[in-house]
Amino acid sequence: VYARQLDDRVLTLAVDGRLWKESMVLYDRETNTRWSQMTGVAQTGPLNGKILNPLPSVMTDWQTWRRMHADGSVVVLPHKEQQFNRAYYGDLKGFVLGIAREAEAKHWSLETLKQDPVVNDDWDGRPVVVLFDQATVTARLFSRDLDGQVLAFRAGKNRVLDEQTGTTWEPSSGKGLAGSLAGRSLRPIDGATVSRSDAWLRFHRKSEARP
Amino acid sequence: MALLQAVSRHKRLVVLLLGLALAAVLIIEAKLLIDRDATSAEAPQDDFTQTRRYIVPQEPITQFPIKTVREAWDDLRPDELVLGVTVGAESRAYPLNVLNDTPDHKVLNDTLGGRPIAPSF
Repeated sequence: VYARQLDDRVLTLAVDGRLWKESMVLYDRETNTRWSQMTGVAQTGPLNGKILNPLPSVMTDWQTWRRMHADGSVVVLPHKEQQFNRAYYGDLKGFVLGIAREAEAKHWSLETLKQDPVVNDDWDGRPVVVLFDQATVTARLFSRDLDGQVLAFRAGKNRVLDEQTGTTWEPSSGKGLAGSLAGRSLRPIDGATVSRSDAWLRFHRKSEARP
Repeated sequence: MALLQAVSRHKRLVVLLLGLALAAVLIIEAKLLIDRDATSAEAPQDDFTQTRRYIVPQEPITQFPIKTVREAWDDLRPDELVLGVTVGAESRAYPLNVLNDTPDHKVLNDTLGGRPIAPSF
Protein backbone atom coordinates (compact mmCIF):
# COMPACT_ATOMS: atom_id res chain seq x y z
CA VAL A 1 0.00 0.00 0.00
CA TYR A 2 1.36 3.38 -1.07
CA ALA A 3 0.65 7.00 -0.30
CA ARG A 4 -0.73 8.27 -3.63
CA GLN A 5 0.44 11.79 -3.07
CA LEU A 6 3.63 13.21 -4.57
CA ASP A 7 4.53 16.67 -3.34
CA ASP A 8 1.24 18.59 -3.75
CA ARG A 9 -0.28 16.31 -6.34
CA VAL A 10 -2.77 13.57 -5.46
CA LEU A 11 -2.68 10.73 -7.98
CA THR A 12 -5.55 8.47 -9.01
CA LEU A 13 -4.12 5.04 -9.71
CA ALA A 14 -5.47 2.22 -11.84
CA VAL A 15 -4.48 -1.16 -13.21
CA ASP A 16 -2.64 -0.89 -16.53
CA GLY A 17 -3.32 -4.54 -17.39
CA ARG A 18 0.25 -5.42 -18.24
CA LEU A 19 2.71 -7.38 -16.16
CA TRP A 20 6.32 -6.39 -15.75
CA LYS A 21 8.55 -9.04 -14.24
CA GLU A 22 5.32 -10.94 -13.57
CA SER A 23 4.00 -8.13 -11.37
CA MET A 24 1.30 -5.54 -12.01
CA VAL A 25 1.88 -2.26 -13.79
CA LEU A 26 -0.21 0.69 -12.57
CA TYR A 27 -0.89 4.03 -14.21
CA ASP A 28 -2.11 7.34 -12.83
CA ARG A 29 -4.95 9.24 -14.49
CA GLU A 30 -3.30 12.63 -13.92
CA THR A 31 0.00 12.11 -15.77
CA ASN A 32 -0.29 8.67 -17.42
CA THR A 33 2.97 7.62 -15.77
CA ARG A 34 3.51 3.85 -15.47
CA TRP A 35 4.35 2.53 -11.99
CA SER A 36 5.57 -0.83 -10.75
CA GLN A 37 3.16 -2.16 -8.15
CA MET A 38 5.94 -4.17 -6.52
CA THR A 39 8.34 -1.28 -5.93
CA GLY A 40 6.24 1.89 -6.27
CA VAL A 41 8.84 3.26 -8.71
CA ALA A 42 7.71 5.08 -11.88
CA GLN A 43 9.13 3.27 -14.92
CA THR A 44 8.05 5.52 -17.77
CA GLY A 45 6.11 8.75 -18.26
CA PRO A 46 6.27 12.32 -16.91
CA LEU A 47 6.99 11.17 -13.34
CA ASN A 48 9.63 8.62 -14.43
CA GLY A 49 11.97 7.79 -11.55
CA LYS A 50 9.65 9.13 -8.83
CA ILE A 51 8.81 6.82 -5.96
CA LEU A 52 5.48 6.35 -4.19
CA ASN A 53 6.02 6.18 -0.43
CA PRO A 54 5.06 2.85 1.11
CA LEU A 55 2.88 2.90 4.23
CA PRO A 56 3.10 0.51 7.16
CA SER A 57 0.79 -2.40 6.56
CA VAL A 58 0.28 -5.92 7.76
CA MET A 59 -0.85 -9.07 6.05
CA THR A 60 -2.78 -11.16 8.52
CA ASP A 61 -6.03 -13.06 8.77
CA TRP A 62 -9.44 -11.52 9.37
CA GLN A 63 -9.75 -13.15 12.78
CA THR A 64 -6.58 -11.42 13.98
CA TRP A 65 -7.31 -8.08 12.36
CA ARG A 66 -10.91 -7.74 13.58
CA ARG A 67 -9.76 -8.42 17.13
CA MET A 68 -6.93 -5.84 16.94
CA HIS A 69 -9.02 -3.20 15.15
CA ALA A 70 -12.60 -3.77 16.24
CA ASP A 71 -13.25 -0.03 15.82
CA GLY A 72 -11.85 0.05 12.31
CA SER A 73 -13.40 -0.49 8.90
CA VAL A 74 -13.14 -2.91 6.00
CA VAL A 75 -13.74 -2.73 2.26
CA VAL A 76 -16.38 -5.25 1.23
CA LEU A 77 -16.68 -6.04 -2.47
CA PRO A 78 -17.95 -9.17 -4.19
CA HIS A 79 -15.35 -11.49 -5.67
CA LYS A 80 -15.46 -14.77 -7.56
CA GLU A 81 -12.49 -16.56 -6.08
CA GLN A 82 -11.60 -17.46 -2.52
CA GLN A 83 -7.88 -18.09 -2.93
CA PHE A 84 -6.29 -16.09 -0.14
CA ASN A 85 -6.62 -17.67 3.25
CA ARG A 86 -4.03 -19.08 5.63
CA ALA A 87 -3.66 -22.18 3.44
CA TYR A 88 -2.26 -19.90 0.70
CA TYR A 89 1.11 -19.98 2.47
CA GLY A 90 1.33 -23.79 2.43
CA ASP A 91 4.37 -24.89 4.42
CA LEU A 92 5.74 -21.29 4.29
CA LYS A 93 8.50 -22.33 1.91
CA GLY A 94 8.79 -19.75 -0.80
CA PHE A 95 7.57 -16.74 1.20
CA VAL A 96 9.64 -13.92 2.64
CA LEU A 97 9.23 -10.76 4.65
CA GLY A 98 11.14 -8.13 2.69
CA ILE A 99 12.15 -4.51 3.04
CA ALA A 100 13.75 -2.38 0.33
CA ARG A 101 14.87 1.18 -0.16
CA GLU A 102 16.53 2.29 -3.37
CA ALA A 103 19.29 -0.27 -4.07
CA GLU A 104 19.25 -1.76 -0.56
CA ALA A 105 17.09 -4.75 0.33
CA LYS A 106 16.86 -7.45 2.97
CA HIS A 107 14.57 -10.40 3.42
CA TRP A 108 13.76 -13.02 6.03
CA SER A 109 12.36 -16.39 4.96
CA LEU A 110 9.09 -17.32 6.68
CA GLU A 111 10.27 -20.90 6.83
CA THR A 112 13.26 -19.82 8.95
CA LEU A 113 11.06 -17.55 11.06
CA LYS A 114 8.95 -20.60 11.86
CA GLN A 115 11.97 -22.01 13.73
CA ASP A 116 13.16 -18.70 15.14
CA PRO A 117 10.25 -16.24 15.29
CA VAL A 118 12.16 -13.33 16.87
CA VAL A 119 15.10 -11.79 14.98
CA ASN A 120 16.93 -8.74 16.28
CA ASP A 121 18.44 -7.05 13.25
CA ASP A 122 19.13 -3.67 11.75
CA TRP A 123 17.80 -1.87 8.71
CA ASP A 124 19.00 1.39 7.21
CA GLY A 125 21.43 1.78 10.12
CA ARG A 126 18.68 1.48 12.73
CA PRO A 127 17.78 -1.34 15.13
CA VAL A 128 14.75 -3.39 14.05
CA VAL A 129 13.11 -6.64 15.05
CA VAL A 130 11.23 -9.21 13.01
CA LEU A 131 8.34 -10.79 14.92
CA PHE A 132 6.55 -13.79 13.46
CA ASP A 133 3.30 -15.30 14.64
CA GLN A 134 3.10 -18.73 13.11
CA ALA A 135 -0.50 -19.50 14.08
CA THR A 136 -1.80 -16.62 11.95
CA VAL A 137 1.19 -16.38 9.53
CA THR A 138 1.81 -12.76 10.44
CA ALA A 139 5.35 -11.46 9.90
CA ARG A 140 6.17 -7.90 10.89
CA LEU A 141 9.13 -5.57 11.06
CA PHE A 142 9.25 -3.08 13.94
CA SER A 143 11.71 -0.51 15.21
CA ARG A 144 13.55 -1.62 18.38
CA ASP A 145 13.92 2.00 19.36
CA LEU A 146 11.22 3.07 21.80
CA ASP A 147 11.70 6.73 22.76
CA GLY A 148 15.49 6.42 22.55
CA GLN A 149 15.68 3.15 24.46
CA VAL A 150 16.94 0.36 22.22
CA LEU A 151 15.30 -2.94 23.11
CA ALA A 152 16.49 -6.47 22.34
CA PHE A 153 13.84 -9.14 22.02
CA ARG A 154 13.77 -12.87 22.60
CA ALA A 155 11.23 -15.65 22.29
CA GLY A 156 9.95 -17.08 25.54
CA LYS A 157 7.49 -19.92 25.83
CA ASN A 158 4.61 -18.83 23.56
CA ARG A 159 5.51 -15.19 24.03
CA VAL A 160 7.94 -12.46 23.07
CA LEU A 161 9.87 -10.53 25.72
CA ASP A 162 12.38 -7.72 25.72
CA GLU A 163 15.62 -8.20 27.67
CA GLN A 164 15.64 -4.68 29.14
CA THR A 165 12.27 -4.57 30.90
CA GLY A 166 10.86 -8.11 30.61
CA THR A 167 7.70 -6.70 29.02
CA THR A 168 5.81 -9.24 26.90
CA TRP A 169 4.80 -8.15 23.42
CA GLU A 170 2.14 -9.24 20.91
CA PRO A 171 3.99 -10.13 17.67
CA SER A 172 1.15 -9.38 15.23
CA SER A 173 0.50 -5.87 16.57
CA GLY A 174 3.75 -4.90 18.33
CA LYS A 175 1.77 -3.98 21.44
CA GLY A 176 3.14 -4.29 24.97
CA LEU A 177 0.88 -6.76 26.81
CA ALA A 178 2.27 -7.03 30.33
CA GLY A 179 5.17 -5.41 32.15
CA SER A 180 6.44 -1.87 32.52
CA LEU A 181 5.92 -1.11 28.80
CA ALA A 182 2.39 -2.57 28.68
CA GLY A 183 0.14 -0.45 26.48
CA ARG A 184 3.05 0.93 24.47
CA SER A 185 3.42 0.05 20.77
CA LEU A 186 6.47 -0.66 18.66
CA ARG A 187 6.63 1.44 15.50
CA PRO A 188 6.13 -0.64 12.32
CA ILE A 189 8.66 -0.04 9.54
CA ASP A 190 7.12 1.43 6.37
CA GLY A 191 7.17 -0.84 3.35
CA ALA A 192 7.97 -4.16 5.05
CA THR A 193 5.94 -6.67 3.10
CA VAL A 194 5.34 -10.40 2.78
CA SER A 195 5.67 -11.76 -0.74
CA ARG A 196 6.64 -14.83 -2.70
CA SER A 197 10.41 -15.14 -2.61
CA ASP A 198 10.74 -15.56 -6.39
CA ALA A 199 8.82 -12.32 -6.94
CA TRP A 200 10.87 -10.55 -4.26
CA LEU A 201 14.16 -11.64 -5.83
CA ARG A 202 13.05 -10.65 -9.34
CA PHE A 203 12.82 -7.06 -8.13
CA HIS A 204 15.58 -7.13 -5.53
CA ARG A 205 18.19 -9.42 -7.03
CA LYS A 206 20.85 -8.37 -4.51
CA SER A 207 18.58 -8.58 -1.49
CA GLU A 208 20.45 -9.81 1.56
CA ALA A 209 19.03 -13.08 2.89
CA ARG A 210 18.87 -12.91 6.68
CA PRO A 211 18.71 -15.89 8.98
CA MET B 1 63.64 -6.63 -48.12
CA ALA B 2 65.04 -4.59 -45.23
CA LEU B 3 61.92 -5.45 -43.24
CA LEU B 4 62.33 -9.18 -43.88
CA GLN B 5 65.95 -8.93 -42.83
CA ALA B 6 64.94 -7.10 -39.63
CA VAL B 7 62.27 -9.74 -38.96
CA SER B 8 64.69 -12.62 -39.41
CA ARG B 9 67.30 -10.85 -37.30
CA HIS B 10 64.84 -10.30 -34.41
CA LYS B 11 62.82 -13.50 -34.87
CA ARG B 12 62.37 -14.19 -31.19
CA LEU B 13 61.24 -10.65 -30.42
CA VAL B 14 58.69 -10.72 -33.27
CA VAL B 15 57.26 -14.06 -32.10
CA LEU B 16 57.03 -12.72 -28.57
CA LEU B 17 55.23 -9.54 -29.72
CA LEU B 18 52.78 -11.50 -31.90
CA GLY B 19 52.13 -13.82 -28.96
CA LEU B 20 51.39 -10.90 -26.65
CA ALA B 21 49.08 -9.30 -29.20
CA LEU B 22 47.17 -12.56 -29.62
CA ALA B 23 46.86 -12.98 -25.84
CA ALA B 24 45.54 -9.41 -25.51
CA VAL B 25 42.92 -9.99 -28.22
CA LEU B 26 41.80 -13.23 -26.56
CA ILE B 27 41.49 -11.59 -23.14
CA ILE B 28 39.45 -8.67 -24.53
CA GLU B 29 37.23 -11.04 -26.48
CA ALA B 30 36.63 -13.24 -23.41
CA LYS B 31 35.79 -10.16 -21.32
CA LEU B 32 33.27 -9.00 -23.93
CA LEU B 33 31.66 -12.43 -23.95
CA ILE B 34 31.38 -12.46 -20.17
CA ASP B 35 29.91 -8.93 -20.12
CA ARG B 36 27.45 -9.82 -22.84
CA ASP B 37 26.37 -12.87 -20.86
CA ALA B 38 25.92 -10.83 -17.70
CA THR B 39 23.81 -8.19 -19.44
CA SER B 40 21.75 -10.72 -21.36
CA ALA B 41 20.87 -12.37 -18.04
CA GLU B 42 19.67 -9.07 -16.56
CA ALA B 43 18.76 -6.50 -19.14
CA PRO B 44 15.80 -8.02 -21.02
CA GLN B 45 13.85 -8.60 -17.82
CA ASP B 46 14.71 -5.26 -16.24
CA ASP B 47 13.84 -3.39 -19.41
CA PHE B 48 10.40 -1.85 -19.03
CA THR B 49 9.59 -2.51 -22.69
CA GLN B 50 9.52 -6.21 -21.71
CA THR B 51 5.97 -6.32 -20.42
CA ARG B 52 3.14 -8.66 -21.29
CA ARG B 53 -0.56 -7.90 -21.36
CA TYR B 54 -2.89 -10.05 -19.29
CA ILE B 55 -6.05 -7.93 -19.02
CA VAL B 56 -7.33 -4.74 -20.63
CA PRO B 57 -6.50 -1.44 -18.89
CA GLN B 58 -8.89 -0.73 -16.02
CA GLU B 59 -10.58 2.53 -15.11
CA PRO B 60 -9.57 3.98 -11.72
CA ILE B 61 -11.72 2.81 -8.80
CA THR B 62 -12.66 5.65 -6.50
CA GLN B 63 -16.01 4.45 -5.08
CA PHE B 64 -16.44 1.26 -3.10
CA PRO B 65 -18.48 0.11 -0.11
CA ILE B 66 -16.89 0.36 3.34
CA LYS B 67 -18.32 -1.30 6.43
CA THR B 68 -17.30 -1.10 10.05
CA VAL B 69 -15.43 -4.13 11.36
CA ARG B 70 -18.38 -4.85 13.67
CA GLU B 71 -20.89 -4.80 10.79
CA ALA B 72 -18.66 -7.03 8.65
CA TRP B 73 -17.57 -9.29 11.54
CA ASP B 74 -19.01 -12.45 9.96
CA ASP B 75 -18.89 -11.37 6.30
CA LEU B 76 -15.36 -12.69 5.91
CA ARG B 77 -14.04 -16.10 6.82
CA PRO B 78 -11.91 -16.03 9.98
CA ASP B 79 -8.82 -17.33 8.16
CA GLU B 80 -9.24 -15.08 5.11
CA LEU B 81 -6.18 -12.88 4.50
CA VAL B 82 -6.40 -9.11 4.64
CA LEU B 83 -4.03 -6.24 4.04
CA GLY B 84 -4.39 -4.07 7.13
CA VAL B 85 -3.43 -0.40 7.11
CA THR B 86 -3.35 2.14 9.91
CA VAL B 87 -2.86 5.87 9.31
CA GLY B 88 -3.07 8.00 12.41
CA ALA B 89 -6.13 6.93 14.36
CA GLU B 90 -7.88 5.22 11.44
CA SER B 91 -7.42 1.65 10.32
CA ARG B 92 -8.91 -0.29 7.43
CA ALA B 93 -8.68 -3.84 6.15
CA TYR B 94 -8.55 -4.72 2.46
CA PRO B 95 -9.34 -8.40 1.85
CA LEU B 96 -6.77 -9.92 -0.52
CA ASN B 97 -9.59 -11.76 -2.30
CA VAL B 98 -11.02 -8.34 -3.21
CA LEU B 99 -7.72 -6.81 -4.35
CA ASN B 100 -6.69 -9.90 -6.30
CA ASP B 101 -9.56 -11.85 -7.84
CA THR B 102 -7.30 -13.43 -10.48
CA PRO B 103 -7.21 -12.47 -13.27
CA ASP B 104 -8.98 -9.33 -12.05
CA HIS B 105 -6.72 -7.04 -10.02
CA LYS B 106 -7.72 -3.87 -8.23
CA VAL B 107 -5.93 -0.85 -6.91
CA LEU B 108 -8.27 1.22 -4.74
CA ASN B 109 -8.07 4.99 -4.47
CA ASP B 110 -8.84 5.47 -0.82
CA THR B 111 -8.29 8.08 1.89
CA LEU B 112 -7.36 6.98 5.40
CA GLY B 113 -6.55 9.22 8.33
CA GLY B 114 -6.74 12.15 5.91
CA ARG B 115 -4.09 10.64 3.67
CA PRO B 116 -4.72 9.52 0.05
CA ILE B 117 -3.61 5.90 -0.19
CA ALA B 118 -3.59 3.14 -2.80
CA PRO B 119 -3.81 -0.45 -1.55
CA SER B 120 -3.29 -3.26 -4.05
CA PHE B 121 -2.06 -6.81 -4.04
